[in-house]
Amino acid sequence: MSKNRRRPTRHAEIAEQVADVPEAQPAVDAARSRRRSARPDDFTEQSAEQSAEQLAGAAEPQPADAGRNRRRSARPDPAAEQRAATGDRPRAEPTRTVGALSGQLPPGTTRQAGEIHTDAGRYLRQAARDDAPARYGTPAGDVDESARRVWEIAFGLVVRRRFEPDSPLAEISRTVALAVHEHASAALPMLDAEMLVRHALGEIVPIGDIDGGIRLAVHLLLFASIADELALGEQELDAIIADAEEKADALVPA
Amino acid sequence: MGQTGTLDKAATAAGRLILEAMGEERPARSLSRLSDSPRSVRLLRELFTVAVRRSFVGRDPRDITRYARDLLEYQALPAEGELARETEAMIRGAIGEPELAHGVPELRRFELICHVIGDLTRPPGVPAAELFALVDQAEKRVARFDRPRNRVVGRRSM
Repeated sequence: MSKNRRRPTRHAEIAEQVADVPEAQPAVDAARSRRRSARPDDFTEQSAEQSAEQLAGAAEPQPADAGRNRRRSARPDPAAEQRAATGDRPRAEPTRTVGALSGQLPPGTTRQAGEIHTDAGRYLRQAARDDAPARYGTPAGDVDESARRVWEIAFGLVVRRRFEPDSPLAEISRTVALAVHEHASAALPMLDAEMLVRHALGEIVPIGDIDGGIRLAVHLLLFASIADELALGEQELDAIIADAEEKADALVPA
Repeated sequence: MGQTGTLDKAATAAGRLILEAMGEERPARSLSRLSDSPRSVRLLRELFTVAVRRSFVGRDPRDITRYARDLLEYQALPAEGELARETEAMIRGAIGEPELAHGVPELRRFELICHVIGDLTRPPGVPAAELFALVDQAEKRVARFDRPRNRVVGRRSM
């Protein structure tokens, strides 16, 4: 165990060295871990080839794309010219699924600070006030991507209000355990929920393959529990959700 | 076979099998071959508890997350998903949060136990004397927790 106790410390020392001496990084990487060096050589060669292919692909546009681009450039786009004049980035037109719970601002609505404007925001407030139609985390109907985004951002906001990035893990675990027991009918996996909280705090944790349904349930139900733990008033709660809506709107893929 | 000549340090046949497996080139794989021996599997579970407690009790629990990632990367296993969470759940389960490991399937538990033991207790990273002490403590835990007729204490004094 002395060997393994040294491991994280050694890792931290190396990270410091890398931060201090950026030009020495390749040498440090090569010597960093006996474990990586123990991997078969063909693995690294294959990775290197793949990376090289990807880089080459990124550098050289496909002929079909090039043709399309030429056709586009031949015909002037008035909207693009206007965007170029105003300095705006082109934004993809958001898709709206008919009948689904959405996090998009309804057409013709002007955003006002501290006010909830979307169905997703209103559903989240209901969940936080324990008035949500479904108690198992997920709403009964369809949920579109923008609603998921609003809930994820709101979850991150409330988590960062409750915890510092270096909060003791015991404190985080206690809050998560309380939330999981409070919403026992949803049967949230405790470690997955804890990992999502730690991820929201900026920690590197294994959340790669957590199911979308579990993510959604954790975002909704832990938001509700933490809001209750913080004893947020109506205005504070609305402000957080409105803030999340605004941030989600700004994140619409360009 | 780094343990040749020292196998009599273990009191039970299961302990000797484990010590022998630990001396192989790939201890995790060698340990996993003991899956058809119920006594070895039982002893491995206690050895896992003992090894994990000696390594991680009193340390920052975030070290466990880092350790799990490091271990899985070394074994060329996926380190960013469910396997990493299950590894952390098993380790934290052994040091006081047993509810975390309740959902881990039995076969996966055994695989992870073999990987962690193979990493934490493998010579020469761990001195041979410490490894014997770990196995001895695990044998005592088996004796303590199992039924009286299965205890090895009487035979140890012979």
